[in-house]
Amino acid sequence: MQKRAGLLTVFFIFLALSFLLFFLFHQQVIPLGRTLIESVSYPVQRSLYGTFAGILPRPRENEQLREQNRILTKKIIDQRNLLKETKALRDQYDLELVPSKELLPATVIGMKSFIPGVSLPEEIILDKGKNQKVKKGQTVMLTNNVVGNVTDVTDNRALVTLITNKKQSLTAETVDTGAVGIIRGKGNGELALENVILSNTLKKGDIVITKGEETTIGTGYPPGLVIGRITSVDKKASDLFQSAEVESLIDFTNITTVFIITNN
Amino acid sequence: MRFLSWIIFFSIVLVEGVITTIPLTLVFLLCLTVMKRQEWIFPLAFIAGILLDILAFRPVGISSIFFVSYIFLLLLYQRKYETATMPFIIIASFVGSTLYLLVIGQAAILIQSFLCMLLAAVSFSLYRTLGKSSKADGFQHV
Repeated sequence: MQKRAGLLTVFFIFLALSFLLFFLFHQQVIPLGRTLIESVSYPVQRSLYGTFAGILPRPRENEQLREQNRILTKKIIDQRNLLKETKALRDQYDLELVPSKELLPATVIGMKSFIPGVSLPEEIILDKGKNQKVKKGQTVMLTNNVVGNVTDVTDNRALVTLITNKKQSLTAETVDTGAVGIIRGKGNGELALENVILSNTLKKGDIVITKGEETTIGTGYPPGLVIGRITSVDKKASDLFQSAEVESLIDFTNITTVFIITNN
Repeated sequence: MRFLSWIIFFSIVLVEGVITTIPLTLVFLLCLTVMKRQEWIFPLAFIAGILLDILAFRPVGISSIFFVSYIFLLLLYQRKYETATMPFIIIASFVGSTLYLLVIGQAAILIQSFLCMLLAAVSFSLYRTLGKSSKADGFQHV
């Protein structure tokens, strides 16, 4: 009976402590504690992830081809944007150029997948935070390709929800045909372009880019970033909309450095 | 042995916090609770929960609340059931990991719970085998 009372006492003490911490952190009363633990754990976390990323098998040729593919896609998009800009300049002399983006390089220090190297991650942790002026909603990219957006941020770290995560959805358009729709993350590295009206054309191999959802404070997805390439189209005459499967050009399991669009 | 246990404990927390979503810490705490049946596991679970939440960007305290409650239930039921048995380990790890993954909002819960169950069964049999062999050698098991 005495032992049971002792067990109950210890249990209630630690349960109360846990609830207290939960409440205090939720109310942002003790962010210092988090920062302190983060600063201690950061080097360990970084080296552990670095070691782990080094162990993972990397298909070299495949990776090189992906990189080449990304660069070429970027060139195509740049060229098309240049054409559009030239046309617009001809039409409108007093055109204001979009301010160039400020990019903050960040290192990936955490990437949790269900089985590392087998299943794909849904979120990544970066080594930059509020101290480097990282804010919630900022876009993270790599060679003009969308990686995701910042969904949580502490003093020295940021949580990025990948574009393939089920929580993600944004407006997008195709480069060749100009079809507009909504890109949704399907989880485990999959993406889908949905809600595209039947009169628009979707074709296999076409590049999907962001339509642009920037806010006045500089967060949100800027226009013209590459989301991926269409791999298959699902179009039925009886449906209201057509959809397509999209494959990102980024190999999320192998990224080590990304760029945060800060617009500071 | 105790020093080694601490190293294993922190390694497991770090691996779970940085690399995988499989609840390895839960498996470790389950095996420890079943084998040791002592109350000092509560502070360990509390610390593990806080570290995990900070590393994995979760609301701090949520894992601690779950771990502390889970260990309390395990210690409470050791009077009614024989907890240091394989069927109990299998059921407790499966139910515990499923609930934990639901609480922290992870995907692929069933597959992860099955993996967790396997891990717990392997760890438990390994621990029992090692315990038996060290006792046979005349070492005092800590």
